[in-house]
Parts: sequence; structure tokens; C-alpha cells
Amino acid sequence: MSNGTAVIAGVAEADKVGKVPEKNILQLQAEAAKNAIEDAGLEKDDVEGLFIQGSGLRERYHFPQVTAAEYLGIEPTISSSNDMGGATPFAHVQYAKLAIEAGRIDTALITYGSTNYSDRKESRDIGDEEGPILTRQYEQPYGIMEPISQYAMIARRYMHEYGVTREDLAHVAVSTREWAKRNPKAMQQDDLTVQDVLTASPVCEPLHKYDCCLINDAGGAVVVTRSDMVPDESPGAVEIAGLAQTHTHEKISQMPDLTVTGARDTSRRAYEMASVEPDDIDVAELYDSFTITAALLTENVGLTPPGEGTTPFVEGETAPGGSLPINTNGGGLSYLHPGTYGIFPIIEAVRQVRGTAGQRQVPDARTALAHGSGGILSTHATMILEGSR
Amino acid sequence: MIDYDDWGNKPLPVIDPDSEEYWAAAAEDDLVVQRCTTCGERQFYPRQLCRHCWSDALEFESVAGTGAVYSYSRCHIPGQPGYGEETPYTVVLVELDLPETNPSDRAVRLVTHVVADSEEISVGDSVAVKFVKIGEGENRALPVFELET
Repeated sequence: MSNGTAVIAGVAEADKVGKVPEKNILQLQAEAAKNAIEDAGLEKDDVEGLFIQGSGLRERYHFPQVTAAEYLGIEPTISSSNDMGGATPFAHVQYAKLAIEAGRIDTALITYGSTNYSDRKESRDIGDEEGPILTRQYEQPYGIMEPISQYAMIARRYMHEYGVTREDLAHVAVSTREWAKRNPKAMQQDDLTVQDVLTASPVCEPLHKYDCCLINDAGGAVVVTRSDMVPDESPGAVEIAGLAQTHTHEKISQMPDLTVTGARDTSRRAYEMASVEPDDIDVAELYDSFTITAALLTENVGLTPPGEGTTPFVEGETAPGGSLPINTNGGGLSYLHPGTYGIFPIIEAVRQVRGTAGQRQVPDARTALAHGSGGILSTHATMILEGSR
Repeated sequence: MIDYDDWGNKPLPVIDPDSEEYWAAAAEDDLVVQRCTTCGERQFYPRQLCRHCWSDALEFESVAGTGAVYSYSRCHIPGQPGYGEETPYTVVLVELDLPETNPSDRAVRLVTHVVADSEEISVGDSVAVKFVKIGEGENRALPVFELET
């Protein structure tokens, strides 16, 4: 790492995550932000760049990052609240890195907050008051169930093309639950069997209840800074060795290929930037909105050949003690999934390469791959992190 | 199967300058896509520019209305207003037959219904378009598909 390089120096969740009706969306982000700045050994006044995920605030404010900056008492020199769903915090780390390495700022704060669990107690509105406008008019009249029915179509196509079964996909949920049992913060810690997954109530077939992620309240934050800003007593700055993003479509009818996502492209570019190969990855944190998401990302980021994304899950290689540990925090399926989960794979990947992941620590994890995805496998970002221990 | 005769408060497309001709054709039992007269790309949904070459020389062209089930999902929870009484119902992604491969190699697919019991639908099934009238008192039609025997 040269002195001008951007590193991730701090990561944190809000004090309490999961079901937090006593906190609003700004409080959860503020808690996470303070925790992450402390984790980095930096101070509030060091923050020059502010990147917040706009979802949750955008419905109420025109300029979400301006609202958040005011609330936090920050006057940033660069800011954004753009939103790419579950790839957003990855994109924000990239913007921070570019701004830092261009010499414009020294430190950036990236935050995410959601009160999706508490909010959904109110009646769940579906559809738009104004009716399906613009590009939505071609799908909503048919009752499309966003986003689950589209992920279900992706799963169905994947099963058709490769002879994968619901049982194969169920192993993703089971493996992830095994990791969740080792994460004290995970929402779901009960035993889960393949049979449980198969017999749970259907949501959008072929996806049933345990194929789908949780819905929670949460806050998360990441601090990116220039490597020479990191204090000596810091728990470990993590090198952002590779990072790439893209998006390929917004609607299912426009997805170029239902079993090949933008992750193939972003991972290829991230490996190249980091000068590593899929074989060098010690631990992977992949967005798992649904079992199909994790399975498809596993192969699209090159950890298995095409059509074999469920194989390491079925064979137990992704579970604790396996050779290809995936979603070691318990993932969006069992740990936590607020509106979007994208900041949490980054947090977990950082903890793994720092060696501070507690009971779920992967021995000698040095190189981690984190992948965020949003929409209906629309947006993608791959990050490769290298620990310095 | 979905009750098209009683559309209730199911969503009606909000027609705009991009979509006017598409829905007008549908009301005449005609399925159209846009064809770029510069590069030959066919695209659905209609838009201002060819998504492949950015030419604005686009024309609407009737297609055969045949294709194949690319994927589908049976929804047990409603995704849109008015669909609560229809669950479980099936949304289908159909890949249209085109006279020739697009220069971009992209297929043309659309979200739709196949008028059949969910158990009868499989990936790869041949389907053909038909039009159902929707929206009381309005000259509106929605393209849906039937299984070809």
C-alpha cells in the first residue's frame, strides 16, 4: 500500500439491529457512523466525503444526503445519495476511493439505514397511485410481484438450463443458517433443514419462505480514508485491492441472460485490478436476497463453473469448516436484511480479513471477496479486500 | 386463471408518447415491436432511440406473435392492486420469435400471462398471442398468450 492509497479503516453496525422500533432511520445511521469513525480511530471532523444510500429517506426528502449531513453536523466537500440497491455502498466506496486517490479528500463516510421492519407494520401499499407510468406500464398490468416474482423467474430458468433442483437451492439457506448460529447478532439462529426449506409456504414459486431474505431495521457504516491517515492503534486498515461496478438492466424483460449477471464482468475486472484469481479467495460475502442470488453469484464471480453455483453449498464446502466459506455472518437469509443488505457484506469481509470475526472467523483469511447486487440482479459491484495481518 | 372480464382496480397502462402506438395496435389485436430502420434491431418496449445504435429512425412492425415460455413464476402473494383475489396467479416471461436475429444478439422478451393452469406451463412451451379486452368502457387490450397445441 502506498501512502496515497485509499483503505477501509472503519466498519460498524448500529448498536442494535433487527427489530428496532424505538429508533428512526436517521438515528440508526448516526449510531453506525459514530461507531465506524471510532473503529477507524478517526474523528467526526475528519469526514470530508459523505455518501449515503438514498432509499428510505428519498421517499420523504428531495436530497437525502443533504438531510443526513445536516442531521450529522457535517458539511461535506463531496457527497451523493445515489442508489443502486444492494450494490450502492460498494459504489460509494469506489467514489470515495477515486476522490481520495485524486487528492481531493482524505476521508469519506458511507452510511446506510433502514426501518423496513418497523415500517411494514403499517399497511403494505402495492402499486403506484398514479398507475403504471413510463417503462412500468408494460409489466405492472400483469401483476408482477416486485422483486420476488422476477427472482423466481431467474431461479426457474436456472433450474431449467442446468437441471438444478429446489433441493440444491435449499442447501444455500441451510449453509447460511449454520453460519448465522455463530453470529450473536443474527436474527435467525434456529436449526434449519433442507426439508424445512422445501416444505415452507410458497411465495413466488419456485421460491418459498426460506428461499427469501429477512426484512429488518438496521444501520451500517464504512469509513474510507487515505492509508497514511490511519492511526497506529487502529484494528487494521484493509486494502481495497479490487473494485468494479456495473448495471445491465432494470426490468426482467430487459435482462440480457437470466443466468449470467453483471457479476461476471465486475468480478473479472476486480480480480484483474487486484492481480488475484478466484482460487486466491479465502472467504466470500455474496449478496443473498434469495437462495438463487447467492447460487448465481457464486458461479458468476468465478468460484465455480457455470451451472455449479449450488454445488459447494450442497457439498458443505460453504459452511463452517468448509473449503469455500460463503456468507459467514449468516447473510441476508439469516443474519439481517433491511431494505437492502449491501453494506453488510463489506462489513463482514473487513472483519474476516482483520481476523476479528469471533466464533465465525475463517482461519488465516487474508483475501476476501464481497459482492453487492440490487434490483433484480440488475446492479453489481465486486470488491476484493486484502488484510495486512 | 385471471378474470379479465372484471379488471377491477388492476393497473391500466398509463399511455404516453412512447407507448401510444403499441397500445393502439394491441386494441386492434396486433402485436408490434419497434424496428430500427438503420441497423435492423427490434426492441420491446418502445422508446425514443434504438437501444443498439441510437438511431431515431424507428418504425413499428407487426410480429407473428408466436414465441416460447422463457420462464415463469406462480405468485401466492399479490404484486399489484386488484391481484389479491387472483392468487395464486402466474406471470410469464415470453421470448418472441423474430424474423431474424438482432444485430445486438439480444432476444425480445416480454412479461405477460399464459392463459392456462400453472401446472400446464413449462419452460420452452410454444405460445401464441391473443388479446383480452380490459378496462370497462375503454378500447383497451392486453396481449396475453395461449399454449400452442
